[in-house]
Amino acid sequence: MTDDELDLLASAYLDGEATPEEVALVERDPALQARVAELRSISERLRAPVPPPSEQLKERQLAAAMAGLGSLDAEPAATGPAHQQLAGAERGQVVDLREARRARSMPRWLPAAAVFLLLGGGVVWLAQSVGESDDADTASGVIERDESADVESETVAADAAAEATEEDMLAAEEGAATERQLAGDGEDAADEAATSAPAAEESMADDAAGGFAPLEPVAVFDEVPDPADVLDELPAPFEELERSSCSLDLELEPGSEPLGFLPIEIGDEPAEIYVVVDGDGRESVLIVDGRCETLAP
Amino acid sequence: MARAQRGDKGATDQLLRRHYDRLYAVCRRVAGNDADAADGCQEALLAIVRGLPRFDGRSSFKTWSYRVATNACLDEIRRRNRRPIAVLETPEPGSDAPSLDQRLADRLTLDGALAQLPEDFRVPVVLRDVAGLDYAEIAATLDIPPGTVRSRIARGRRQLSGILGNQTSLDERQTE
Repeated sequence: MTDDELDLLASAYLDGEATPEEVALVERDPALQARVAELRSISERLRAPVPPPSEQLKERQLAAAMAGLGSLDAEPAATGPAHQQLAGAERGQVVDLREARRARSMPRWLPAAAVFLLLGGGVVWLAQSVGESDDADTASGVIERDESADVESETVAADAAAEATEEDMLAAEEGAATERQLAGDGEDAADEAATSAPAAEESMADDAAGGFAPLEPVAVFDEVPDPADVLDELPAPFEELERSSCSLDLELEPGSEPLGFLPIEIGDEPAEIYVVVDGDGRESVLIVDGRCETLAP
Repeated sequence: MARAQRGDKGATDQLLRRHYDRLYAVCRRVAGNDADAADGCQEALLAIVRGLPRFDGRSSFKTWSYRVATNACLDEIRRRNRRPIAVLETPEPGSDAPSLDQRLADRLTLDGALAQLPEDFRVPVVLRDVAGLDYAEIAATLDIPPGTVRSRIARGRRQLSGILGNQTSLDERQTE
């Protein structure tokens, strides 16, 4: 019997996992008994209680986990670097990406778009009201002012769309100001609209793409990198999924979901790297091309 | 359990508290030091909370939570791109009853020895001796056959015995 086989027997005997034949074999062999005793002493050392973490750490970690549940009024607490890195959060703060995504699931441009639609509707209504008048010149003048104000309101709304969510209220206020302006200086507004229209178009184009300017690639690769090593080569923090192109189109195992991503280039073509977590909490890396087709693994 | 899966805060809190100590202990032994254990344990708790609604009950919660904790701790270590680090210290020669310093040194020695084990051996040994799982449970936790569990534990213990034995011999030589 080899050393490996002897260890296998002794170890299984120690754990109560040996068959009756194996038990009998061990118990009648003094050499095997000695080996069991040696392994038992190792096992006992391992079984010695692990020094518990401080009560403060324990409570902080439990509170952080509960904050991850999303509905407990627990204060954010310290957590491991992974979440800080993935969410780009300030060190020491818990940022649960699922909650963050849920909170931000309403597109940022939606409130601004709502303001724009309201204003547009008001303008049409106003134009129709005036159009019913017998005085055609007056009507066209009002429409001209309305159009200019309309473009201006687009500008305000589109600019607001580029701002953070908390500034949506500001956009609404600005929209209201624009509406008030409709009744006033139409000619000045027309001049302003002429200069701001290109900017408005740009902003609206951003809106169509999700309200964000394209991200610069954080790294350029000649060929598809190895997913196992790629994270070590890339900078933190990871971007939020709202800015990704493919987070909704990834081919993932059931129960898996993306946590964060980084834009890259592979051979001059755009690509994205995703960190994905499965149902068992295991993280992995997925690399996709610009058409969201998996490149690796 | 069912209430926790439905998102009941109280039930989830109770569930986490009930299992915290043993999850931390596994993370501590797998990670090899307090800092990585704390980070790994935090990730494990978050992963458990996130994964609870998807936990289908095919395995026991204990097995599943150990799997999540083990993966979280291993991910934490891999993310830092290094093996667990523990300071190898030798116990001071002295009285028969181990002093606090001696116990600390013994723990550090054990951490150092565990850190030298390949991950494939270290984790089954920890799940057996620290978590007290049987071979079938370890097999389910790690998704490997029970026969593999048996051989990895045996080989892991043998390596540990060699490392700690060498350490002891070194200590004895230093004492002489």
